[in-house]
Amino acid sequence: MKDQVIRILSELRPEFDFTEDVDFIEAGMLDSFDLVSLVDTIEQELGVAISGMDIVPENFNSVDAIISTIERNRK
Amino acid sequence: MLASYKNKTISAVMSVLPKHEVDFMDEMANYAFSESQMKKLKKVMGFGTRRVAKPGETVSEYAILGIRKMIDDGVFTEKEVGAIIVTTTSPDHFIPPVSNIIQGAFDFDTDTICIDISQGCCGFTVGLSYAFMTLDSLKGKKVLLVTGDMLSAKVSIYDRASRPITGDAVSISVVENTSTPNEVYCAMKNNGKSAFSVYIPAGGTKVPITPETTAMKEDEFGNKRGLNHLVMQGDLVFNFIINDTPVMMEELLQFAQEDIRNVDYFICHQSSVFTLKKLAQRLEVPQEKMPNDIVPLYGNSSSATIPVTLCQHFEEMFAEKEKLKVMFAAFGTGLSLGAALMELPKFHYCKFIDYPHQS
Repeated sequence: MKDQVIRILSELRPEFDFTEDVDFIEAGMLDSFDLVSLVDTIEQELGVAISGMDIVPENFNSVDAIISTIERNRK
Repeated sequence: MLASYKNKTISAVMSVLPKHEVDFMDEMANYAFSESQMKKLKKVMGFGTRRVAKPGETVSEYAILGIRKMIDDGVFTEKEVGAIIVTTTSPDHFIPPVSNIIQGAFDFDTDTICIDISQGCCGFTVGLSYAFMTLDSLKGKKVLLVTGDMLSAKVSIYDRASRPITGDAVSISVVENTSTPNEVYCAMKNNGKSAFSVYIPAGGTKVPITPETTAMKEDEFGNKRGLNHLVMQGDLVFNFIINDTPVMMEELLQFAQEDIRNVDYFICHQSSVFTLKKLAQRLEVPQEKMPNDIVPLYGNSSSATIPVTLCQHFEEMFAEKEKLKVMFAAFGTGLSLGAALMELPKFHYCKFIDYPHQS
């Protein structure tokens, strides 16, 4: 899933390298509109509905955080 | 606040929309998005066409046009009107109140109650609560609930967060007592600690408009705004909506001792397609029960979106039933929340008209 998440992120913001170990939000790589687009793409591609309550920056600030969010919403 | 009122109903709705239509795709160059981001957001957020008032057009002018049409169509007479309640955040002037301007445009009685309430997106549900309260003092007379805003002019053309969804509209809902037993339930909540998460810094007494407040500055996301423009902390507002609105709706259902599955429709304020999709998921309500197409069709017209939704979907909603259990729910500036749960009969007047701009 990690590769898939990195691919989705790279398609969303091709100007950034999402394999870097940085906070995507603090680094300005993702803004609130990107989160909305990211959630929609994850839902379409992975068939999981992300709870609105989970759409907060800390759940999308790294690849690991995004994977945790996806897995939590699959349960 | 939770309250219930006996034998109240909505008997007619009119929505007045600017004829002037603006397409998101025609404004793409104003926003700091890539083309692929724009196309994605068009679908996810519901950026589409929005109805936009011409400069100088006012809430009272739209309301007067709509009320005159309703009188001409025989919906009510001037003598039957006991109160005018206006909810807006974009009044024509500081003074006089919009409700008084509307009263003065007709031969309404001089004892007609005129109330202006400064409410944005929650204006319909808050105004409905005040209408129900007022009706007990009006005997047989009706309340005209006027809800709407002319906020397009207050949103920067370079604000990608708010501009693509903001529309203008004014609705008139006729609220009255009914002899048919019909208990209605209302909720209102406020969180003034977050009051400045949606605001217009200049133009009031705190910061008067000056050449300095008109100058535009660019923020970290590439939005350009002046202090005269609306600014919204979208992420904070979204989290407020998703966390607090369902709790209020569930409290209202519990207060009314009603099961959520018995509600036929949830007519909610429409701020964006994404927000209502997430709200429906959070409540585990099928999206078909929560219409979600007003933003792409007309834009978010603040306190008018709920009556605009009624006008848009009235025929299909009542295709098979003469009365429906409906919950209205709204959220927005304040930050405020409001809801009303009621049995809505298939009334005979629910329509749109376009406002004919002076060229």
